[in-house]
Amino acid sequence: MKQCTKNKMTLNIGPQHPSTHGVLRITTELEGEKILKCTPHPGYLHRGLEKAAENRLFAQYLPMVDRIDYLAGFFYSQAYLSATEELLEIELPLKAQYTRVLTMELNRISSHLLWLGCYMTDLGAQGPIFFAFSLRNEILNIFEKITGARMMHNYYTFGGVKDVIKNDILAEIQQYIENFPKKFKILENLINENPIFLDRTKDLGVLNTQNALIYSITGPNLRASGSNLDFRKEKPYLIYDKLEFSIPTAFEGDCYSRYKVRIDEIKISLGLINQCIDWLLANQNGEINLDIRPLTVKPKAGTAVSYTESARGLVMCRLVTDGSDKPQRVKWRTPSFYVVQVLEKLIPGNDLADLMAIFGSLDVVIPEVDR
Amino acid sequence: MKDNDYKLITDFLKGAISIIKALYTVLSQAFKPRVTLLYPEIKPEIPEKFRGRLELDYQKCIGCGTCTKLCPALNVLTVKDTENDGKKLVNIDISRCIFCGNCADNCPKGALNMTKQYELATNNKKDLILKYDD
Amino acid sequence: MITALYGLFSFIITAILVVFGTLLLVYLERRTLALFTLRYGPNRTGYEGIMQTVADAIKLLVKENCTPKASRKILFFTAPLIVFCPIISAFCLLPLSGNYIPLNIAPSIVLIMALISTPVIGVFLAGLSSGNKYSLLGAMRSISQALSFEIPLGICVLAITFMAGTLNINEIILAQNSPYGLFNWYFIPQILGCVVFFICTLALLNRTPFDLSEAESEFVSGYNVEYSGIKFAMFFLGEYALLFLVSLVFTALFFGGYLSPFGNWILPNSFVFLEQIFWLILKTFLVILTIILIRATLPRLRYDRLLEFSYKILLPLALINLNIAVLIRYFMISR
Repeated sequence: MKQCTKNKMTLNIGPQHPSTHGVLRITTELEGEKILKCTPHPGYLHRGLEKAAENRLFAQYLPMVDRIDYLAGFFYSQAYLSATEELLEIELPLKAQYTRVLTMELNRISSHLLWLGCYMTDLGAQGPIFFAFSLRNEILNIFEKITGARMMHNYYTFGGVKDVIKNDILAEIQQYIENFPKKFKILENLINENPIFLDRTKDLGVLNTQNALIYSITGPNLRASGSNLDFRKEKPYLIYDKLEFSIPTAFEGDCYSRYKVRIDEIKISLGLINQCIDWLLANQNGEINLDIRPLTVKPKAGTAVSYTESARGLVMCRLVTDGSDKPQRVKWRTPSFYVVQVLEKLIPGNDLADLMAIFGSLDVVIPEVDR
Repeated sequence: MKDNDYKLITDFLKGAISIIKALYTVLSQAFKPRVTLLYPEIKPEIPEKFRGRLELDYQKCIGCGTCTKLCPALNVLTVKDTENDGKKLVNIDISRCIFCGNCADNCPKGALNMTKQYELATNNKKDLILKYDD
Repeated sequence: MITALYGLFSFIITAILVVFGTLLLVYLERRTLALFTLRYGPNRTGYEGIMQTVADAIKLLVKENCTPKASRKILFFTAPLIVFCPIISAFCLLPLSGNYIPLNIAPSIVLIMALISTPVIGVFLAGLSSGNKYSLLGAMRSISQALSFEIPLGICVLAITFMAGTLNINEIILAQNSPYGLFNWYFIPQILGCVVFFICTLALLNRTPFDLSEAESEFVSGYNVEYSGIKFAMFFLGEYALLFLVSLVFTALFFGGYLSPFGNWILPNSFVFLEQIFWLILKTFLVILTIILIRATLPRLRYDRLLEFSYKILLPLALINLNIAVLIRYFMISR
């Protein structure tokens, strides 16, 4: 028994996880209960999506972009199309821009709801995941009515979106937004002031601002550590400069403040969606796309970089073209990749039981890490 | 010391009250309608734009090959020549389809459609390769 | 001779009732857990899913019964038995109605507490004999959790015996009998003891929020990781049998067992035992419902916070409760 507790022990937290983060292998060195060293090994979900772009037309690659992070697919479509439209030198009609922002903010809400449910399951509560998923289910049904598919939407196209959102669907979204706070209160009652939850997440996994900026962490993880960097305000794209919203921040940098920041982001997204719907209902006429035939997309030769604030952080797409109808190189900068790097610094010093609490609060999605 | 004790007791009471509130919230969920559908007796409502299985109207197809050029899964749709009147034919491999809708949206004659069928499991893989050679 | 046959007969009846009750309880838990989380539970196998537990048991029975090479075979074999058998035999001591107590001995509450504490040894043997250092760690955690939560449990039971003045569980129930019905049960003067007892039973059963040893997302594996087949079924069913047993003891000590809340019996005299069984089942069902509700709501406590919680909060509360019990009994006697 002494050998079990005194010497160092290597524990492999294998690729298969009981919690739904994906396939990530973490090797930890333990001494008794304390973790001394922690090394993540990503790469189990590598699908070669950057290489796949080199053999496909621009329009052929577009459905694959949704699948880089299937929980927040709209943001990646927007990133890719923003880079392509910059090289095509076209300007989107206003109605298309408002529609894109509307769908992206709905996607942000559904991604955060999924994170909340899975985080609670990591901590041991088995009730909240079902309530969060029933809320998310209604968003996915709305997406099905708008785009035809619940998750991998393929709704955006070169020059706008494929189809107009009809007024009855807009009314349905408005009604969902109105009922949302009451249903979300159920989750908040279960979690917000629960002493067991507070005990397990306060002062745990503290990430200070300097470390976060050195490791290039963005998104809610950074905003919970004190900075207020949000690329919707820093480099406004689409019509974010016309919309009014604030950026939630917290200063402690522990797991609880990351939770708080994401909850506040959901509420802010509700306000953004309301503004978009009001505009769309007031301006019924308008072009929805520039009617560009997909087979005729041939951007000029050059490089374009696009910035998009996804649910997990900054997504950058660097597109290099050479004048033909296939991209020469597509490079994706995904936010979860950098969060996996910072695990080496955050986790040592804590107990083994805290590893899941910290890892879950960082909202790492492995398809994003491994592309 | 007294301050610390006072805080301890109030924290404890606040914690106990919030746990009771949480228990009451979950108890009240027992009286709400269920979210799951009793499949296969009750099936979900499918909206019109749903992207299910592909279906080709052979009379309208002109064999232009747009669908083949736009398919991300490569080789889902292949266009072959026939000996009769030189018209091209389209073979669809449903097992490789990712249901993105690129082909159906851009077909110039509207010959390709996505139906509402989503129960596509079969025992025989050959059922999923549709050859239009009549 | 007749009494021996009667004893054997009642033991067999009790054993059958317990096994059926446990199987039903597993199904009931899945259905009520689903009820609280907006789903249906298992509702396809059999009528409304009743045969689900039977299907699970059959699946466990036909699995391969593998024993790891590095394990100690005899201890490995007997550990599930030590966990399962005391619980089944403790059911004989419980009064199901006023006349039907399979085994009525004078210090029955002491024997029940002893039998509830015996499975801890089985858990330890399971961890020790598995030949796996992770399961040994898990077993050590389970044991320290079980032992540290038994102290407040024992003190609460002690307080109840003070109030009732006897160690026999049937007489504890009868001491709560009065025309006032509900208001004379022991949960009112002993509300603190009631809550402490309830929390300690959750910890003894390894249930949320204290289920660190069974959790899948915590990576220290539990004591039962090397078990498969019928031996795992014994651990699994043993936990549910213990749940049933402890709920029955809880209602007997604090909520008056088979007594009616109205004070008098509704049914005529010869059918009173039916009414007693009805009240017992109803109260036990409500207690089990609360335990399942807690499972659906609360996250898990971390291991060191768990021990802190037991020693720093529950133990002082249990001692305060004991003082209250002694004071109340003193005033009751002196009146």
